[in-house]
Amino acid sequence: MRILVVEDEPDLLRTLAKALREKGYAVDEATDGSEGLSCAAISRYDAIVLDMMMPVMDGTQFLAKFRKLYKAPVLILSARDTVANRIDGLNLGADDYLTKPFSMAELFARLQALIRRSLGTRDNIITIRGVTINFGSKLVSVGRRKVELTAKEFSIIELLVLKKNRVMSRSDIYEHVYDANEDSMSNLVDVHISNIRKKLEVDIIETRRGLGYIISV
Amino acid sequence: MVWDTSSVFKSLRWKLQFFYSALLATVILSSGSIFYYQVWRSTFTEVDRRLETAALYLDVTLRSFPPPIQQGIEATLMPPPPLRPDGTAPPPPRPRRSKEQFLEELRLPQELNIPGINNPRDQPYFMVMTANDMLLKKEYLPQGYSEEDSLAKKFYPKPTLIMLKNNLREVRMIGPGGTKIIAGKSLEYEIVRMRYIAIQFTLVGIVFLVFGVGVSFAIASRMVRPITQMSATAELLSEKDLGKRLNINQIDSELAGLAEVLNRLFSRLDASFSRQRQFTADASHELRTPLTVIRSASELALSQPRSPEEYQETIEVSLKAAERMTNLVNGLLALARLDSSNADFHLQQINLSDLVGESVSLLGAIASEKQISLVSDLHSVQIFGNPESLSRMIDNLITNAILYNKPGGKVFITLSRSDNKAVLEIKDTGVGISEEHLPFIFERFYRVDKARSRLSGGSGLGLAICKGVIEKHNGTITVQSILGEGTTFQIQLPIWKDSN
Repeated sequence: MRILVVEDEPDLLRTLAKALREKGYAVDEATDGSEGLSCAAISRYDAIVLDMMMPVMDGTQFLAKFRKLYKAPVLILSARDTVANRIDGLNLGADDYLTKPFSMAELFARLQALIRRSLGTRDNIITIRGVTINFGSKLVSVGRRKVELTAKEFSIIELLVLKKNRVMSRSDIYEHVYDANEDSMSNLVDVHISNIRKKLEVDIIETRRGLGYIISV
Repeated sequence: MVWDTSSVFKSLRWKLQFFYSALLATVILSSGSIFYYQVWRSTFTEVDRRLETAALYLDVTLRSFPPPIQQGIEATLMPPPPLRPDGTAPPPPRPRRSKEQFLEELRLPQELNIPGINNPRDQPYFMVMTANDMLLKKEYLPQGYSEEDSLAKKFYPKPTLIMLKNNLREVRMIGPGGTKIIAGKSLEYEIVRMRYIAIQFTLVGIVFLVFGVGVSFAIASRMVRPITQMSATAELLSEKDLGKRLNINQIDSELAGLAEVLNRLFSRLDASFSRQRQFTADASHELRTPLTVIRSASELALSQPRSPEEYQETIEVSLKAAERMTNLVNGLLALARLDSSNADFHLQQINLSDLVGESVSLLGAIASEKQISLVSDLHSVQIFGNPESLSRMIDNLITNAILYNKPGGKVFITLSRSDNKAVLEIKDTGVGISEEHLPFIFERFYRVDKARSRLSGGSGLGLAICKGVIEKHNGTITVQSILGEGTTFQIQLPIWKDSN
């Protein structure tokens, strides 16, 4: 899943990006609203984490422009904590609101829920042909056996499950899993897929030759 | 309902109401009384006048009675007619009426009747008697009239008014030949009529009073209404909603002034509260941001085992955030101290040039690090002030002049005396401040370049504190700036006078 973080405080931006990457997200960083809009024009994001008070273009202006063009869910991070501030943020087209300072765990849970909802899945745990994927705890199991997946591997299977019955090309997967920070090759996707297949021992990922990969239910 | 009398006496509306009602009642009562008295007087004066006329009429009529008959009444009343010059007796008098006929025809003329009274019992009566109380004629005497009682009273040569019991009014006089003449009238009719008029007057008065009280109630309400409205509006105002104002157009001119004063007060309160709210929101934002950095960085660092370098980075980030919070808290405390009373703000006589000189030499190192030269021209000026806060203010302004300067730039610091003012000028050759920001730079948390001042650890309070310090010393600070050329801050402080 690819996430854009828009935050003017450089230390916080770096920390958030690092934390999200460690959770397996591809993260792009923007230090103000206009930079955020430039990023959104280049890549498709599964969610946006947005600070409200920023120089050049603040969160309000960013949201107004972003919402006209894109549908990705937006989570507001703001130091403004009154009910009126929250309502304003949600009315502007944000999907969730988190007050600073926040717990990282809560941010991850809310982001995960936002992404699931935007892709039309309500459950946190999905089982496909004996393979159980828990989006909350990021764990995969086959029957009773736990499968140890790396963060990247999990995010690939997560993408395929959330976008089930749709063929995802290598570049789709690449775009959702790798951010501008990483220098990687698209054939790495194939390597990750084959590792997943080996670890699961149940092949739920089908290959569509020349198109990409699909999990069909 | 509990009737609180003290509140009634204090109520303007009830006072007005009471005043109006009392005034109206007095006017109605006095004018009614005067009018009633006039009617009463004219009624009885008229009766008296007619009775007097009646008595005189009877007197004159009795006088016209020819001597023989008069003699019959009183023989010596008239002298015999004188003889003619030729010695003959005067021609015999006209054929005369008899005494009985005369008395039969003796009555009061219609004109003396009181108009509008149909019952003859209520019209004047009369009685004529000889000097020795022999009744000659009586007419229309009221029932139960006691002739003995009447005769017991004195008669006078002139018509005299007296009052008898049973509301009888009489004029008594002594007529020709000692005849006793009584013309009287029962006043029952007039008394009943006056009573009737009195009842009518009372009823009309009550109607007027009720109507008047109603009108005065309306007037009092109308006069008190704007006050009630004002208090209701003021009641609605709260810290959360200070937007409401009194509608001056609907208020009488005397109260409109008060309403305007209140409206201005509300506006000032509104502005003050919204500044306070903005300040609180800004302060909370400024405190939460570094706190968020510390919390997020720490959570991230602890989420899995890390390398020493990563831990070090986390600690550095946290330390930087902690420093920022420290600056901010110090700034907030300085502002709070400036806002509070003068208790812990000790003033003393100081030489301002010493303070500026100290700051210049202290900040010289930082300036040369950034390749910026400080040029100072300081004249000794004595002022009365708080050295700590003034030093902090001067440090702050010179630091700004260094930080927002261009490499190789200069900062000119001049202190001089002009009239009764110490004039301190701090001029830089830096980036300048654009016109749109200039009016706001002394506001709390206002940042010209948000990203930059945050990187340099600024709290956004520095200039607000400077302004606060200067105002606490009864001084002024002004700023002039040209974008790209530099900024000049000029501070004027009152000088120390020995007479102080």
